[in-house]
Amino acid sequence: MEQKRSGIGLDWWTVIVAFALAALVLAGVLPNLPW
Amino acid sequence: MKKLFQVVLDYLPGVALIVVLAIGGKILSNWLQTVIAVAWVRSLASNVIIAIIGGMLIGNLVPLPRFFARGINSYEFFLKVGIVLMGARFLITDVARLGGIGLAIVVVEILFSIVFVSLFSRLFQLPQKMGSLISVGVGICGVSAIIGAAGSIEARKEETGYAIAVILVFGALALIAYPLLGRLMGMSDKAFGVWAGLAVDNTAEAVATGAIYSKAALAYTTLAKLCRNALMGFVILGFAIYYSRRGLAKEVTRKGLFLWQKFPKFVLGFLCLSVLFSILFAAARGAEARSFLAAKTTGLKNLSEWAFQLTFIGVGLRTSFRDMARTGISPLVVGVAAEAAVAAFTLGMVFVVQGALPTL
Repeated sequence: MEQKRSGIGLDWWTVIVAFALAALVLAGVLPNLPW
Repeated sequence: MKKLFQVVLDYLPGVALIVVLAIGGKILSNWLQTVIAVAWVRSLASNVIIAIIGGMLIGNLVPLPRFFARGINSYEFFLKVGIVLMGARFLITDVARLGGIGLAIVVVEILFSIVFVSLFSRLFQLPQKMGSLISVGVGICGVSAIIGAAGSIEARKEETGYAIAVILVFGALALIAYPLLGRLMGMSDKAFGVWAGLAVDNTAEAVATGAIYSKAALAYTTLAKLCRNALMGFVILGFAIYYSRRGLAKEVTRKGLFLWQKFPKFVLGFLCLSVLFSILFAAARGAEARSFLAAKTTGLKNLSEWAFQLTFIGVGLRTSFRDMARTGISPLVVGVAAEAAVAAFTLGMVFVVQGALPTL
């Protein structure tokens, strides 16, 4: 759902958050969560 | 800053509720997996089924205060984050191979559902734009596509509401019907996964349907569903042009920009992460580097599993039996016919092309 909030779509935020998480996992800052 | 604080406050209660229920559901499912001895009963206690049914029970039986609503409805955010993170698990070459075949099937599927639903809604005398919205929802990707199309073709609020209700009713039914049919027909994970991705309307319900069948099926479902999502802009543009030529909606002036605005960015994110990890794996020299990357990929896979778990809780909480009962008969009849036709049509296509589908 494309909702505009302060100029950037919610869809873009999902990409930003996912890439930030990926970077944290790659850098070893975020440990592997158990599943 | 004050605004950001307010946004956090608005979403926090609902998101916290989803997180608590997701963790509780996972713990309960893990425990049931150890205590249930009969295999088929154990498969019914998977984290997906527990999350969805638990969410449904709480959402329908417990009167949740209104301040939970915004956070609960934000589960689509977690779904998309989970899908982007899934990109790390797939080599871009596999994505391209499956995506190529997927896109070709999806084009046929979308054309079929648009023509079928349009004819059927005329037969049942539904408002024309409601018929178009249902066909967009059935053909492409459920609620997001309907909302995207509703603005572009200037549909009325009640037409949009009905079309969304139809898609959600069938999304809930799909969670039960598709895995059952798949097991009855003895479908492979690959065939079932692609079928669910092509036929189940809403992205959240499609992912859940694939996950209920098996972990392997979920991967195929997600990729097939992304092919449909990627084509959303083209279909909405087609409808916008159709209605503007009849003087029923504004003209689309900058078509390129329109397509870009309607393109789901999380599909782009998924592809970028797949490219990034494919390059990293290709560049990794030595067993140590490869096992480091494999461990990181597992970390991202687990994160996406949790993101999906939050989504499944949200799907359950949002499924309202009262809203289902309120949906009128005519749109539901059109919905039943469209869903059954699309399910049969896509099943036929999957059986035809399954030999050509790459194994992930």
